[in-house]
Amino acid sequence: MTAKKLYKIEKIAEVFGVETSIIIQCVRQEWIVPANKETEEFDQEDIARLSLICELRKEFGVNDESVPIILHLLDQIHYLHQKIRKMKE
Amino acid sequence: MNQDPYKVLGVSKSATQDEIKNAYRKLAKQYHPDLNPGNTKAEKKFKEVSEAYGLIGTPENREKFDRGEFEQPEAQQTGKRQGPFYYQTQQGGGRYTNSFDDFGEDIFESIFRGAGAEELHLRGDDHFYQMEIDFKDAVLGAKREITLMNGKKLLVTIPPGIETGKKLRFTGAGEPGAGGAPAGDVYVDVRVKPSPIFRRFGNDLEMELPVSLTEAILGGEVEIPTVDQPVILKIPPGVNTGTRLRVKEKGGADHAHKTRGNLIVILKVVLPSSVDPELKETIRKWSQTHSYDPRSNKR
Repeated sequence: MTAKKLYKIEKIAEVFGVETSIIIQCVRQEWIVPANKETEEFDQEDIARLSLICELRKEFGVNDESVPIILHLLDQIHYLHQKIRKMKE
Repeated sequence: MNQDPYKVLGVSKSATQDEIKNAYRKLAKQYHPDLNPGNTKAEKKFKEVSEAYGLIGTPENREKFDRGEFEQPEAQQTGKRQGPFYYQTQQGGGRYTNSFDDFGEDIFESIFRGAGAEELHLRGDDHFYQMEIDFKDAVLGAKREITLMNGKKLLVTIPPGIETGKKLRFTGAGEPGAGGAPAGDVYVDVRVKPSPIFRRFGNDLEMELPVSLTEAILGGEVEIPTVDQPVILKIPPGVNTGTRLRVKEKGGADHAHKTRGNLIVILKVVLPSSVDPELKETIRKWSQTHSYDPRSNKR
């Protein structure tokens, strides 16, 4: 298993054109859990999740109350997919 | 892109920019791959929709497109997507998905394990088969082995006296149950092949036996078939069409009483197919001194 690349919050803000304050808000609301909590560094999953959150809010008009609901449902779907995949083996 | 972006978004050529944006939003919401994880058709449609929006989403791009000059879709992407979709990061089992195991196990255990969960305690399905049974087997009873759909072999005890339309039932030979529930049953719908010779009435069998004029008047011995081996039937002298002779214990087996019914032989007197002059003369002489009325109510 290759070591995952971690990014600092400033780097992500720069690449995405997203304010660091927004990223911090996502973390505080526990919509994203950084790969490394102490150093507050994020991996590819966090970035993709953040990207999705921004898309939900900007493009689809999802409000802050609904974001965690949607994420929670998606998490369950992915979990079920994985379980089914494992059962097929 | 081969398709007309107006068509893809479902808007008319005279739609306002707002209408185009709303149409795009509605379709993007529906087909976004993260909102349809694992659905490749949705992802394909999402890309189409995004490309279409790229072509006519802004007034400048739309003008260009309407004039017939537009760049390749790749260069027109409005999606400032950086990196993979979220669902792609979870496909190998991502951190977020795996963290579900902490308490997720409790939530989904009932679905996947069925331990003590009533919902998955399902009795197996019943299976239905049809079986054709020989007349002899139906009359005397038999043991036959049949092979089920799932490869299992079933030893079928055919009870004597079974009739078409009856069902034989084998508990537990059907689909296995889920979660420790019992297996389903196998039902075999029986069809008895009719015999060209015998008819069944309860435990007795009946057959019709043609006899000659000589045999009927003088008596005789005739070999007749039975469900098992042929037997010699004694025909007493002076029988008539309709006379019923009984052959003991050549009928159907009676399962309950461990006895066997009888074979009833119903006689039918048959004249020779052509009457020769000698017979004619003999009868003419005989009838001059003998007459009888077959139509009187003798019974």
